[in-house]
Amino acid sequence: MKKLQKNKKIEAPGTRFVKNLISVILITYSSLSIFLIGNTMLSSFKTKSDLINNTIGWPKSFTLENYGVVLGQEHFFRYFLNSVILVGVSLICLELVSSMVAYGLAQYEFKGRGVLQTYFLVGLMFPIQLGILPLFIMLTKAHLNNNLLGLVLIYTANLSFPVFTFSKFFKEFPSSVIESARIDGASEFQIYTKMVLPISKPVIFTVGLLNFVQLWNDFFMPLVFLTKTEVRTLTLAVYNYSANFLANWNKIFAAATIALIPVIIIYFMFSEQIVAGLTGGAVKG
Amino acid sequence: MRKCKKYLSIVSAGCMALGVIGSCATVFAGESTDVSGKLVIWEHTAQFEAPLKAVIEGFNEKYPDVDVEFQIKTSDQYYNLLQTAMQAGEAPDLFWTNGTATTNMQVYAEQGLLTDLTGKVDFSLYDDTSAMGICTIDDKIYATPTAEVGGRACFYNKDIFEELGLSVPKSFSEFEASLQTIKDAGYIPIAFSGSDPWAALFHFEPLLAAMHLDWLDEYMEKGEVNVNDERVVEVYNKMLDWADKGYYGTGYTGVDESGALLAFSKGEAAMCIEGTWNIQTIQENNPDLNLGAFQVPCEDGTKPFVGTSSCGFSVSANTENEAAALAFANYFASLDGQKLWIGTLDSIPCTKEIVSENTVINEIADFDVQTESYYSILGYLEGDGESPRNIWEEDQCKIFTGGISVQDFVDELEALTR
Amino acid sequence: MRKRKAYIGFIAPGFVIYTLLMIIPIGCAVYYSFFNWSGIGPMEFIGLGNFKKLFTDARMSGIFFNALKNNMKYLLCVLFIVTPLQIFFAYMIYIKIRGHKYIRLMLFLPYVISTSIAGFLAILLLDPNIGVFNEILGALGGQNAKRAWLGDPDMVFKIFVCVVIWQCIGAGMMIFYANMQEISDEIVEAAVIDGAGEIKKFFYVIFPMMKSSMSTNITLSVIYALTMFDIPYILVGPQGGVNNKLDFVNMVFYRYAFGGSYFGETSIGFGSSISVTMFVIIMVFSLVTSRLMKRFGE
Repeated sequence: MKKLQKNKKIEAPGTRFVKNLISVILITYSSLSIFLIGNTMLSSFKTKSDLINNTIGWPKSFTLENYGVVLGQEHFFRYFLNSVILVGVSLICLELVSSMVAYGLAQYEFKGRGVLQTYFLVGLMFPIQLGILPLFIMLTKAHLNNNLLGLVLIYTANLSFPVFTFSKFFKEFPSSVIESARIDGASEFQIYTKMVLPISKPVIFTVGLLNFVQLWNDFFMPLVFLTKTEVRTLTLAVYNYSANFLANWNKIFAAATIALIPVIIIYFMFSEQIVAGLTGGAVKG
Repeated sequence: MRKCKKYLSIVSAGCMALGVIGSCATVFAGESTDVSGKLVIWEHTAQFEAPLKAVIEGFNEKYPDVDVEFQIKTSDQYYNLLQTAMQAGEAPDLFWTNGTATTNMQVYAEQGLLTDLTGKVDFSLYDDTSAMGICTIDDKIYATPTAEVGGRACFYNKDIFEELGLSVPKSFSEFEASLQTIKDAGYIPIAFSGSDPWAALFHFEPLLAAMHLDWLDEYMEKGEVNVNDERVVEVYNKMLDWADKGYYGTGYTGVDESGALLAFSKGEAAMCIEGTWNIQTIQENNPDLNLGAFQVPCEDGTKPFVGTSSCGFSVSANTENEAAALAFANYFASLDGQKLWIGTLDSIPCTKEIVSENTVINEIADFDVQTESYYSILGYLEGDGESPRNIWEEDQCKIFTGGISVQDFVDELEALTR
Repeated sequence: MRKRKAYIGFIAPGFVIYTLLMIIPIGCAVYYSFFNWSGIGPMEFIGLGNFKKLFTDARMSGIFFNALKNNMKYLLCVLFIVTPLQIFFAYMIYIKIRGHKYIRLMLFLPYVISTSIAGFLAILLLDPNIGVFNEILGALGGQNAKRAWLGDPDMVFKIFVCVVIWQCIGAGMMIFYANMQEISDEIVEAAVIDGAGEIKKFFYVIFPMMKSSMSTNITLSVIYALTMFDIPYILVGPQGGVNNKLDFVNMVFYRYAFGGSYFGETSIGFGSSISVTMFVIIMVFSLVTSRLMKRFGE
């Protein structure tokens, strides 16, 4: 804070003007998102005929009818719960498995380590859509089709990006700390769970948040693997509406709002953590 | 146990088929309650959700013991999902295909994935119609048709027409003249999507029929025709000419199908030439819209109607509940089933047995001759190599944005016909 | 001490599940690419036939190389527009311009909106008849001021880049910002005392310290650019947009593997060959980038 004040003192008036101008421009620009999200939320309270003539703007009269339909008749509570379970369990598995892989890759030296590192990156380079046929056959054989657990496994397997992020963090991890723990007689796994994981909280948050957004918003995998109503996810339900938005467009805003709120809440709660996690190590080459 | 079930299913399926035919109905009526178990049905787009629900409800009144589950997919993923499920041996019991309009049903039939419904389902409702064509390959019936004619029509906003003193046009030149009047009044004359090949098709086909019914007649008589004929080119050029005059509004090349329908239902455009299956969507979208419809007339006043049959559901050859699946197919194909389907969908029936109460439908059904679809003709004439329909879908919209000239486009299609 | 076998225990669970559910499906795709196969029914081995069609068939190679060209064009946009913008935004937040906290939150916010909702929002803004942009332009300059937006071959790519900037700029910006925060205060303060302004401070102090975040961001951006799919798909659909100006290799793959929007002729074999080709290209690019990054780092 002090530094900033010092900064300001020596700042020429011209610089300050430019900075403020940039501020105004950026604030205006970033308000576009507020406008779009705000409009989506406002529109969810409009009646259908209000929407037609008044797509953008304040509702003429607030109605909860859309929410009534979406939550009451269309099982959105169920979809919401499915999404929460699916994303929650997937994230836990993904964090655990990928941090272990990254830790193994970063903190141990062994033959073929470089090859393995590249091996774990391959998943980033291939459109996963192409893999659905073999995946579908495997899951069907394992009777995991139309089962949230099946999709948890698929999401957990998609660990290239988390491994990439964790690896960068763990490489920086001071090995002297680990060495001393070893001398104290801690087992390798204890070192990992008792020492490494607690210190890695920021990067766990970062990976968690980035993947949360991705999994929560994914509709393709649920579309393929969760075809029954009782396992349908929220985003899939929204996608189904928007694929035919003319017929559903009063419901779509309410549905989109329901899907957006949890992500936005989590985002506002943890956005400080993202920076902390990235500072912790993701940026280290 | 399994065998027994199979035997039962064959017997009851037979009963079903006979049951629907009036004369035997009384004898077999009692059998229907024996059909039970689970059924899974796939539909390709949400547009048909409501009618399917209605048919299932009707079916369940007759067969209360069958637990029917339906799943609505999205059209862009539909075949992908269906084939993945088939390949894994998880095909739904009944599923929609586009029949002979695309190659999918034929491929599935060749792979033995579809039940041949010949003799198992009563199709007498369709006797005097051309509806069976879309379900039949080599005299075998692989799907139920629907009694719906998927037609094209010119929807119009009656309020705007009244305001400008216009009435339903009696000739093509009258129609064309009205466009300028509407434009001068500050409305978009026709909401048109130049970015969606299908929406462009549903607009193009009625114009082709109105401007050059003779070209379509030539195909209907001889069974062959050049798809790059100068008459076809003339129609496309007419559309480009209208576009230049602003009859489609500024920026129509960036409008997608939903956007065009929305502009029309919001009252920003006076007309929209589209598929008749959109009536319900338009009416639901804006219940206050004073909606009317007509067929774009030929110069001599003839009102042509471009309509295609539409396909219902195929029965999977691997269904574990054939009895119920066939019972459903029978119910779907029956008059009762189709009354519900067409009534809920608000579409044009192909048979006089079904009478619609929707005035717009009756306005659409006011035509003189029914004629073929350009897209269907591309399919009938396709050669052995790549399908012209595929190229058509890829390149159609480029003629509006200068990506390809009209002549090159139709020549490209002609090259792939036999 | 580091040569313990414990790494096996750490890596094994991830290795197994990743191999089973990620690598094997990819392997299957490589296998399919040598067959003429619609995805159902018998498979016909045709060797390199699919690849030959992709590269030499007059129509197909045109489509493929046009899409590849678009991928490259986008990659250039990433390197010369998106990345500099990310650095600029990050630096503005770093020097704490007015409202920087709000700006930081808002710039990252679109990232949490799912693409299906973003696509719907795009229609509300961009549709020529009912979109907000044309309503504003129409009110200002009348009918002729209106634009076709996504229907204009000269504009569609620019709009696409804008949408990408809007939706995806946040993550990379955060990585740059985090990197800037890590630069030790002493170095920065020394520069400030020497009288360096914000611009000088950036070029002489901050920028040279950003190698690590550059390497992370560029590696990820290259992969992202070459696998581009979601945003163009929701903006213009599977056909690649007006005059194929927004066609990307993954969309070509999607179209041919799974069929068009209604014309459902699927070809898993041919589609796979597109993906395999792209996979090789991405591998080469990744290797080249990481080499370049290493040299740049030294």
